[in-house]
Amino acid sequence: MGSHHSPFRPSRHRRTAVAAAVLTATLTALLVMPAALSSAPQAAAAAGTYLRLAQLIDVMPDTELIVSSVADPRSSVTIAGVGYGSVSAYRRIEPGDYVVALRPKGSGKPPLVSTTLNAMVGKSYTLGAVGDKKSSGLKIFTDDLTLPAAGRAKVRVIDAAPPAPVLDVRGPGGTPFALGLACGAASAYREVPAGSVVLAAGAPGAPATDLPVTVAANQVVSVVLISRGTAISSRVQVDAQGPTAVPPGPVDAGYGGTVGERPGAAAGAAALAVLAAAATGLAVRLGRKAGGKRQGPC
Amino acid sequence: MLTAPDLVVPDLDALIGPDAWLPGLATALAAGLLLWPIGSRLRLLPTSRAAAIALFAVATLLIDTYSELGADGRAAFLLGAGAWLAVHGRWRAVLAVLAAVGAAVVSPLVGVGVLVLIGGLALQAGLLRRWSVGVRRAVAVVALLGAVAIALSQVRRLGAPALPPLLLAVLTVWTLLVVGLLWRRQPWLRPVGAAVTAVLACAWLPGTASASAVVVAASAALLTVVLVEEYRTLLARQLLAAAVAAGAVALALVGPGVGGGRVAHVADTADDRTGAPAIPAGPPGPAFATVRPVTISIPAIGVDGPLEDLEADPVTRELAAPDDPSVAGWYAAGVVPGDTGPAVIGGHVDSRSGPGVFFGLRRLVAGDVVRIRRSDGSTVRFTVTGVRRYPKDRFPTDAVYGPAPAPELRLVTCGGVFDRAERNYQDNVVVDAVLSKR
Repeated sequence: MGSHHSPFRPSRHRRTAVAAAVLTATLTALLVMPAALSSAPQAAAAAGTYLRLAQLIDVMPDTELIVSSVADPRSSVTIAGVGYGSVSAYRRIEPGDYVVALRPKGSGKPPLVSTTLNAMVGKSYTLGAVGDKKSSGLKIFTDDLTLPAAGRAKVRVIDAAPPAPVLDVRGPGGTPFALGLACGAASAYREVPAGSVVLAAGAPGAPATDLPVTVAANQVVSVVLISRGTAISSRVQVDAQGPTAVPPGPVDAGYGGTVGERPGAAAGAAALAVLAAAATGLAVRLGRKAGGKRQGPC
Repeated sequence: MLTAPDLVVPDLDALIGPDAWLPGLATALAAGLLLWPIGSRLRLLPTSRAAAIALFAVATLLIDTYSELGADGRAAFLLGAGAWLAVHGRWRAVLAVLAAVGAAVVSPLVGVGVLVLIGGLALQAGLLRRWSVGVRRAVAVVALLGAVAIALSQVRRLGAPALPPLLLAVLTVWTLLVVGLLWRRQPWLRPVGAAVTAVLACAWLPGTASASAVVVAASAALLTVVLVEEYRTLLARQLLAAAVAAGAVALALVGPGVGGGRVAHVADTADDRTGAPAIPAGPPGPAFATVRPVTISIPAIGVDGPLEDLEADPVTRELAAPDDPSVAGWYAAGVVPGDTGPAVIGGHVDSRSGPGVFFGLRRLVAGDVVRIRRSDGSTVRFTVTGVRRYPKDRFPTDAVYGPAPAPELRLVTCGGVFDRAERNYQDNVVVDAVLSKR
């Protein structure tokens, strides 16, 4: 092996020693750097990404929702249409960009309407089919998946009752819940105590209809307002739910028995550190000696 | 006693693991000391040999610091002994081969390097010199195919690379630089360089042990001083510049907002690639479940056992872990696995004497499967989407217990640094999973 040996040069040892010392110093710097590597990632509420269809107009023919991935157009999901005021089951999709199109069921006809959706990790979306006889549209509602306060639920109202252009929705005691809610729009989520809540909805100035809603703690609910003629009724759809009682804080689930699985690790590390220091010292000393010896006229 | 289900799986580590062998670091130390006689065989100057040992020792300390399971020097020691024995005499050559085989048994990925070395030597006529070119080529092909087969068989056995990407990147830059510079002018080193590069590539694969990184560190330390001796001034300077550059890159990587930790959140991977998988809609979870989960099975980490009921501590209101460290438990006041919402299952990472049921949890990766059998006779299958580690003082209650639109699963155990004074781990490891099949 090593047949490529060159004659000595004065600086040879010294350069080896310097190179080794610098590399050692660099690696040592890495060693003592704070372990900033364990930064906690951003918390996403859900693990998957979800999508569903809400039918918010009653004049549309039987439709279905086609969800096509922009990255992989051949992979598409079809969500069958549902009845007026209903929502489909959630479908899990990969996070990414999608084209969603609403078209008459079972037909190869061009879609009635389409839109794009940038689906994020851990989010869930309700795609509302909205509009009237002449034109239909797709609205993207992002569902709230954050934890409500203990013993409370989150409720939003989606207005799908066409006769009145806007509706006023009030909570118990006439407290405003969503005022001037346009048809096809959704209110913000509001937290309510778990149990039964009576909402009242009606056109501004007109008598309101009482709509009882029952929610559980840690539940997220959409109340879809629908109309038969001029009468308003509601359908309560669960967006998401979690444990009704949420234990706060972490879980202590270890006794440290495997920490000792590396017996002598500290002693071994210390020995390695001593070896590193000794070897560096030796290299520098040998380098200096050889360098010094050979300096001079030759 | 070690009663954790994942230890029941036959495993070489159980036979010659750290318990029965000298601790990994002690053998790493011995491997470092072996660099001296090997350097002597290579006719390196004493200065260089000392420098190689210093480099190796520091690199191994780094690996031990950043690897969750610590540095394992057994394979490096065996390979070092083999390299030292390899020259002069048939019997010593036989012993060298035995040492290499031993190293491959300890860490199969090291076998990849040994086979690449054999293949390279055969191609280069450094081995089987008296045989025809055809035979040597055939041997090389067999050896290289064997190397690929071993590498593939090791992928995902343990779940995640042994080292954080940052450290692997530094090791890679250092090694590739040295091997690359030696490649052109030192043809006799090419098989060695190829073998070291192969082991290095394997160290990036999910499921690798830190043993392969220690081997690369030892080889790279030795090759570094060979390089410096061979090329003296010019390359020594380049090496210095490269080391500084590598350090700068490393520092940049450590900067805030980059990296995301050893256990990074991994994007969801579909088990059904033909399209977005359908979610069987879960029935809404009743307030008081009549159905309960009975058993949990996670084939990737050898977990298969019963589930007990967990409840919140009446005083602290925190979720109490199971009494038995070898049994996982289900948060019974929560969601039933398979019903809409996040079902929470907790288990101990270890007992006072050894691994617990969820010891291997941190090694799960996106795509791994968790099966839960329920008391109604059905089995629900979940697919892991990510593994995350949180400091306990920043436990993501929102992400673990927050409402979900479909059936999901959270597996929780301890992780991170063990605080000996508090007898407590500082972090929680949380595995997220989504329903993939009912």
